[in-house]
Amino acid sequence: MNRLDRLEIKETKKIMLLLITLVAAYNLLAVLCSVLSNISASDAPFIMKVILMMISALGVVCAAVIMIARFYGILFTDEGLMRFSYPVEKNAHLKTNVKCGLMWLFAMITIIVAGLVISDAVTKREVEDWGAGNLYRNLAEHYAGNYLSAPSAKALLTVIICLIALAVFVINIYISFIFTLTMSSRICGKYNILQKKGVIFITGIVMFNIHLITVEVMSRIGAAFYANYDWLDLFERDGVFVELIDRSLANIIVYGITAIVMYRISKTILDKKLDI
Amino acid sequence: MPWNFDSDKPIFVQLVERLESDIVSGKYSPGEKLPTVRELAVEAAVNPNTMQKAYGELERLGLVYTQRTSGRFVTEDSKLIDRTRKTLAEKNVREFLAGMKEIGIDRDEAVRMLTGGNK
Amino acid sequence: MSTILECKGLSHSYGQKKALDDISFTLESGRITGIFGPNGSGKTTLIKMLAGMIHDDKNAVTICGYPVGAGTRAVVSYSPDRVMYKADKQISDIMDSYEIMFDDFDKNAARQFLDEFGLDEKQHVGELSKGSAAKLQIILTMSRKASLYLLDEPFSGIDPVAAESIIRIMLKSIPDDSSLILTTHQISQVEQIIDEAMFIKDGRLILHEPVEDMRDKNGKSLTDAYLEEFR
Repeated sequence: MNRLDRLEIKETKKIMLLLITLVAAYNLLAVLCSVLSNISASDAPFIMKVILMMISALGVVCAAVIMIARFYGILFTDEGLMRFSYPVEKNAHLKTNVKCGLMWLFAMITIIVAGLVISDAVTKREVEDWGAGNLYRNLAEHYAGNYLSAPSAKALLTVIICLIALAVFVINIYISFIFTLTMSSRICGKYNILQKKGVIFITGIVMFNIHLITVEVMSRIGAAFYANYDWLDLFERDGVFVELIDRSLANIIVYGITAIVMYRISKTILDKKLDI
Repeated sequence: MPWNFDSDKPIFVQLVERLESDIVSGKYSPGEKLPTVRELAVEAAVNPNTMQKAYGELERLGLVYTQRTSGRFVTEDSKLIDRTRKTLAEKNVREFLAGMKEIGIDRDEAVRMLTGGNK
Repeated sequence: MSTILECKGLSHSYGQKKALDDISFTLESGRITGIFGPNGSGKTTLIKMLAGMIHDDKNAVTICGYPVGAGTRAVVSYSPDRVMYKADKQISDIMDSYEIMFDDFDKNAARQFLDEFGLDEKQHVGELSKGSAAKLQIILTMSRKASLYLLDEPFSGIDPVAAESIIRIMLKSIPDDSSLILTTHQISQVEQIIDEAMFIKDGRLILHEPVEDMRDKNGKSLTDAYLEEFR
């Protein structure tokens, strides 16, 4: 771990550990609610659980906002600009922010996923049967029901690939924000624009729309492709398996490549073109 | 306390003058160890290179000598110090007389004022 | 004596506006240089380029023989023209950060200075007066054992007593072979501590001379020379 990483962690440690603790606490409470919902007849614990999980998801959003705001500070405030006098490459600031940002985010996401799985595993009520936490179990049952070979292994594979797709998606979103900031900074520098927040806003809207279109396009292509499972009989006897794997892989490739491209462009901008 | 300097003469020249004056007046006794370049530069608030040059000039004049490991010392040659005192005194007298001449007081009048004219 | 900094034909523009125009100069080790010029003449831009904060795509500047980059930033200690620490940070916190980032940071030297000038490690930057904050920034900058120090307007808005303290810190800390560049409007205050003076006008270097030579040749102080040039 290099110097800049150590500094970044030192500076974000306090607030992030606080957020992680809160996220963990809320998830713990959610698990307790699941246990309660087994005992109680009312729907209240279940509703509480959903609310708690949603609030804990906010923790992830907070962490992302904080880290992205830090990057904004580096590019657009005088105090942040001082960091460019550090004895590191200029693109190191990008690398460190993305590394540490994703680290904190995934720490919290892991807790939330664990919370989901545990609380769903613990619940015995019907209503939870298709909850996200039960994905593995349900897929295994579904595959077995459709006479797939090695249903448990395939279920595990499906879950893993879906999780990777989710992770790549999260990485892409985070890097999109960072990319928006570096692009805006480049635009402001090149055309000597003083309205930096205006440029960020517009660039942000453009990026947001690109994302919406991508998600929509991917979704429709996937849906059209897998609308009819008949042709799949040739390969496997379960459309869900193929669809989930294929669409996850497609997402991984599309979001992964665009994330890498956005990162490389940001890196180049920081190295060469960034004027302070 | 930073030292004061005139704005028209090179600082180096003024440093040499001041140090000469300090030696001659006994502020630094013969054989006494002088402050290092840096110490004196910090005290006087001057550039260390300039202070170094001034010390160098004093060495050239023989008023100061360097012992490589122990530092710089005032010479113990009292005759040299006396000669220097005399030179400085003569310079002061010349400057005084020149200043008086500028305001129209000639040499004799100036001497009269010095030796008892101010009653 | 070696060349610490070499600058050949350095130019920079902000969009259409030319901030620096073909600046060339050399700086030897162990020298203190003052850069003077009106506001907006390009002094800060020049300093920032030497500090490696503004990209120098023609590699017009080399420090200790190397083009400006991460390597030179490790041997250059820069102090900006305003106090750049966040108000809620403790001095000890800032020193810890310096320790992490800079190998050449001498925490003990910094502590001694803090003591000497009545600053407490536990204070927050927001509690400090402007003069104290400026002293803090200089203390931290000079507590690095760098080859080149760049101080941008270290006396800006500072009372004369604090300015004396800052000069004292500078002269006490600067290593023998290191060089220092400062920009300031307080010409008379720095005249006796600098070796060389540079005048910058509209992004161009119009004078670069040893201060003693200027006094010798022209018989007038640096302040007078500046007023003559820029009036």
